[in-house]
Amino acid sequence: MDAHQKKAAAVAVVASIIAFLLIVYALRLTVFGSIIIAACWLLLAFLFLKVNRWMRPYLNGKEYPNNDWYRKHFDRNYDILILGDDISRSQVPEEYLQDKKVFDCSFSDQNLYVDFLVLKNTFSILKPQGVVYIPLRKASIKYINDKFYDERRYYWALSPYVFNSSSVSCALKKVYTRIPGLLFRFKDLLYLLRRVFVPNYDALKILKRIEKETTWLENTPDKVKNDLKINQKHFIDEMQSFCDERDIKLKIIDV
Amino acid sequence: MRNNPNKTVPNLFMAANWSDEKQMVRLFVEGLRSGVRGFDTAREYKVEKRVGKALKLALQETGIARKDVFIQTRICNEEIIRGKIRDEVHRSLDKMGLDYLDCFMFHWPTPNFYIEAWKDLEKLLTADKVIGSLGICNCRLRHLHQMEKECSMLPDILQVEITPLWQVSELKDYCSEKGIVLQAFSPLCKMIEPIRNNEILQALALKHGVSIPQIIIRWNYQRGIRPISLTTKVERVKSNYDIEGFELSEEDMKEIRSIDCGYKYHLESATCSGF
Repeated sequence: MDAHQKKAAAVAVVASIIAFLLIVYALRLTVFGSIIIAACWLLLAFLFLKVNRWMRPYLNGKEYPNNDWYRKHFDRNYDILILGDDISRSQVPEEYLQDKKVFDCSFSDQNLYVDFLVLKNTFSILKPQGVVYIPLRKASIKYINDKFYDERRYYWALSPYVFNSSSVSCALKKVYTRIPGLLFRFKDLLYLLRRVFVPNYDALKILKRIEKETTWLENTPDKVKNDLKINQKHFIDEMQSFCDERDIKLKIIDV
Repeated sequence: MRNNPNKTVPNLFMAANWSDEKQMVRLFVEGLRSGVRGFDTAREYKVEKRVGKALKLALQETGIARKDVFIQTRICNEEIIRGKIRDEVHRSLDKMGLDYLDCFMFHWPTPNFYIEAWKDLEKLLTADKVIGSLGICNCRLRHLHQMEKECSMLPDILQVEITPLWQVSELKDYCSEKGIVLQAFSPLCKMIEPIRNNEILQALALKHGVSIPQIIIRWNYQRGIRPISLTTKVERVKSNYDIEGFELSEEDMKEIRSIDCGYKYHLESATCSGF
């Protein structure tokens, strides 16, 4: 854990204890108690969000970097853009990212089709010769043929998150965490606690997912698998020529 | 201008902004009195009608004739994709209450659509004499090369972002070679911190006893680029366009050239997907 994570964990633990004590106290006072619980919970959520720098921001489906966003955030000429799904960031070797300005647009359930759409909308943030990394797992294309696939996912999937630049990161978080409803916050808290108490929680989660996908692939008929490969190749080729034309590099990382 | 050889593109432009009609009239009057003869707007800003009315009033107030000003507007991705270019031109004319437009532009080189739309516009230029010239905005060199390959006309005017931080020298050379007039939008880059606190610009402003916006507008002017400045304050119109009383030396120009760091304020891909 880095310093920010430790701070976040400490604040979350202290806030949880205070919240717990207040809940115990509040249970004896009905109306006042409820207000206290609500206030504490909001305070806790606020503190959690304020100090937590590693939490992935949540989306509301509307706010993603458009020109209005760029008019308020002045960082440009990034070295690296990461696409792919939510474990992509951890799949890019650390040495590739060292001392680089990185813009992370990976998000849960993002597939190559979505990656291409995101790339079309974000590539200008890169400097000339900037690099787009797409960690590609065996099943990265599976949603293409999924009957539940919905193009709207593109908006849901777009979650730019900047790291290695704390000021921008904080600003982004402000934009992306304005979701009312305590459920999200509660989920965050659980995630935080899991990360604190389960060693290598993230790595285990990723391994579990890869394992699940491998099983999925093993049980998939060959014809479907071939179709997936063709789809995958098609998208990668198209993305490659798109990047070449725009003086940026595309690097696919096989996971 | 293709359809009006006697008319040239003015050196200074004003962008029609989102202010109300009265304010717009005041801004235009001040602009006209300060020597501005070019007015720029766009369908996307949803102010064409207001701009038309305000311009008419401003021209009446200053006694300047319509033929002495240059008015340009442009259509955005949606209209380019729809493809009914002739209708769009006439819609702009109707909205602005004009008989002709000095330049009709595309706001974006909309991927997969702009070439076809441009061909329609070319036809319209020769068939229908309601537009004086053609323009396009936000292009990179690759778009112009594609146009050169696939279309019979290159734009008369190219409008791109040009600031001391993003000087597009290559594009400028290309435009000079092809006789394309280059316009700079957002020349002051909203006076963001890297411009506002730039030591070179501050020193030059001090040296010439003017403001940084004046230095930037003068720098564009001396490079042969037409800056399009946007302000909502009347007093700024006057001060920003007051660039006649001083001249930047070759040394000054060289110093400003050194500020270029490839920093682009408006990111194209955010508005025009796959740009």
